[in-house]
Amino acid sequence: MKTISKIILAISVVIAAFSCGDPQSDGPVVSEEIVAEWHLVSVSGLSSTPQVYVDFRQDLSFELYQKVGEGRYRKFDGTYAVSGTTLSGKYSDGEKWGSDYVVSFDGEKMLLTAQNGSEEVCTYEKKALSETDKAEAILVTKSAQDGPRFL
Amino acid sequence: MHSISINRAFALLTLTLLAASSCVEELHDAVNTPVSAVPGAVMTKVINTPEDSEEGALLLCLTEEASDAYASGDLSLAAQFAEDIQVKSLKPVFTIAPGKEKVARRHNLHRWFKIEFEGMDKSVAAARLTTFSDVCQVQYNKTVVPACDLSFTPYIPSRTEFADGALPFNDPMLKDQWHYINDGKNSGSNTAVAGADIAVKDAWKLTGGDPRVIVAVLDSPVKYDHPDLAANMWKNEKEIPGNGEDDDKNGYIDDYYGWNCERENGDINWEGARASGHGTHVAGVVAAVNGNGIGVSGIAGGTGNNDGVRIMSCQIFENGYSTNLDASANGFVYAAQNGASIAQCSFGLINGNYTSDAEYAGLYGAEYAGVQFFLDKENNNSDILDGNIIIAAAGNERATISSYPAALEEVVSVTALGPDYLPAVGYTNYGPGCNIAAPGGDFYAGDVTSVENNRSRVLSTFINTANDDNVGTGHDYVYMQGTSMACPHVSGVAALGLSYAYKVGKKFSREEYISMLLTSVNHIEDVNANFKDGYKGKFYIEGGKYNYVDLGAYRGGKMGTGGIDAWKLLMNVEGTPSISVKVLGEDEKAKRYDLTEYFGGGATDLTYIGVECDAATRQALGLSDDAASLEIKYGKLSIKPTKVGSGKITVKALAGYDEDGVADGNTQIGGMEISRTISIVSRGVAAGNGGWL
Repeated sequence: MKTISKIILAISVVIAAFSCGDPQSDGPVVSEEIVAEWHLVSVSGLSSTPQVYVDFRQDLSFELYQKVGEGRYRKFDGTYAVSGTTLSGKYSDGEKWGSDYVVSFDGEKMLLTAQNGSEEVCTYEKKALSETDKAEAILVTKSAQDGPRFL
Repeated sequence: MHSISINRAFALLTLTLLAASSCVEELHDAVNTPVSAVPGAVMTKVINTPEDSEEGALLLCLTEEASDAYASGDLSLAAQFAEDIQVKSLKPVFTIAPGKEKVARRHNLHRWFKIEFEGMDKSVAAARLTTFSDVCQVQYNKTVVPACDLSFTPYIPSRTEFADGALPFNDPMLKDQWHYINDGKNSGSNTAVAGADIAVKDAWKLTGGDPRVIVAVLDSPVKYDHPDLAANMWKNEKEIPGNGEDDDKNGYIDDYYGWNCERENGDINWEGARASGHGTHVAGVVAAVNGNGIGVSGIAGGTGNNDGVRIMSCQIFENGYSTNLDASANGFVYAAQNGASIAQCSFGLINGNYTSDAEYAGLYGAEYAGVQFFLDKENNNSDILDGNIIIAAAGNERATISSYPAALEEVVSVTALGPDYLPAVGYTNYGPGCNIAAPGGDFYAGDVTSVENNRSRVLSTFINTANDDNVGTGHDYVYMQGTSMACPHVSGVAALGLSYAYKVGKKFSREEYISMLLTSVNHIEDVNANFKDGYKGKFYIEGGKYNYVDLGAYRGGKMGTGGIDAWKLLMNVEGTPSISVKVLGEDEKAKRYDLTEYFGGGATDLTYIGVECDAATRQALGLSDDAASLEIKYGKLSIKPTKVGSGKITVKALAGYDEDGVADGNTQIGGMEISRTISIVSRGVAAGNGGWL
């Protein structure tokens, strides 16, 4: 618990240096704890966990690879921001994430707790998707209202 | 096979007919008897009308007893016919291979006979035959036509250039096959749109075909020694061609590359003064050999490693211009009995007086029997599917309904697009019964002032003996257009999808696969913004007059679900992702989710007929029994889960039209019912674009 508190404190310090505006405009230092490739290992309430990988990058961009169901990975990308312990972001098609998240760490695990009232907790571990899967992923470039477009 | 008994029976019949020749004199007196004056005629037995049908021949459906008696050598019925009609021959329409008797009987194939006669009007002969109690139905042997005007333009190398490595195969004409890879320039059309193609280039990175997939081309003969087709021809390796023996005992003598259904022999023959090259052109679209450094590419023609799908030639057109129902019916039966899983049918009955599947089944009984035999799941020829697939041309009469057999609910009916991804308004049929669109070429989208420079039709293989008064003979590759050319694009993509299914180890029911095929599409209106009400840029020329067409008449799914997309089909073969939906509170309204990934680019235009969910899923997702908790609304999935969980739902829609002809009591031509099973994951978070975060 002490460890988690320290990490959260560290994040808070880092985040405090950020403005709340466009995350790409500041070019600040980002917590090393967040900047990594993460693999979803559990979702509260779900008995089976979809294959989800997210790569939070130093430049406040992210790449998300997900295989929810069958078929090859779908790739999304966009930008993210951290404010205090809160992580938010939007996709490159302009769509906002489904929720903001409170970030916490438990050892090597990163926990994202949804802030939309659902209290959904997604737990991630550091792990990268294979380059082959990344290369074969289908890029989703526009909002679902207009339909995903294949490469 | 009862070929021995039939042969013996035929010999006996000949003797019987000779013996009956004494009756001929009396018959001659009766040949001009009006139909109405034929005593005892039961005209309700005549199931169709005589126009556009073969002279001197009729098709008969006999009673079980009579057909069985014939098969066992009892020729008494034939002798009775000969007393009234100057019979030249009486023989079964269909050849039934050993082991297929049971399924053939299920579809009454054994009861269909063809009678040939002389010296009598066919209507009078039909009336006379109805007087026999053993004759259940009399059918005029209707004319079937290719869905193409048969005109062509010889290939002339264009100045089209792609960057090095931009084309996947070294076939020199691929750069001009805009229907596969359309850069907006290579069709020579000023109105062409880049990407107005079947998106096969990326699909070829995953597969080029598989020899285990056999596509039967029911058409004029496929030139099996064409250098760009030979390696992908199906060969009946157990048959020794030309030895006059049925070496493999399949009921067909010398059937090596397929079967000549008109001549009823194994001689696939494209020679002759009126040879059209139609079937050879169609075959090239499906599977011209890829990567051989010559000519064109084919959609499922392999990767240059002898791995293309195989083409079986079922020659139903003797001269390429027309044929009769019995030949087309036999094409289906041969294909079913010899390994084809796809029947590629760029032909149809002349668009006319039939407006429902029931009417077609009633009027064209023999062909319908052949179709049903091919589709019978007991005749499945694929390790991937549980049944065979028929893909047919919608027809070229500019009619507002599909032609038959394409219009049958079980058959995929294909309309035609030009290089601008707009309907080929000069010919394509559209409306009820039309299920999907594909490039078929559009002369009027190209240079209408110069036939020789017009490249906006479809480029494929050809026979150099075919003649066109304008351009002569000697052409191995030509441009042609028609729903005949659109149809093999869908067949080729379907074959490519099956090939990929072999590769990735997936299996499907036929219905699942057809649903995937019909939803692997682009929304036509998204590709070309001119596909809208009031656009008047599309025209065709007839009698020297320009006719401008309002495209509004073609919208709303009348061209089918959309334009076929090979890449999307392969992605569907791999599998479709789940829809992540958000758990909602009791007071919240259901949220709507896009169905494009499941129902193609035109998902919002489809007519949805239902969404099904079993009790386990309903419980897992916390769906109430209220209809508003799960429904299709405005072309989207509207769902109100109240629990975190997962499950599956099945959404049903109509492909191609907003009415279901079969469900409506067969009173009209309708769309094809398709369904997709969709996995649902309900969780606390759901982004609008489906992203996990």
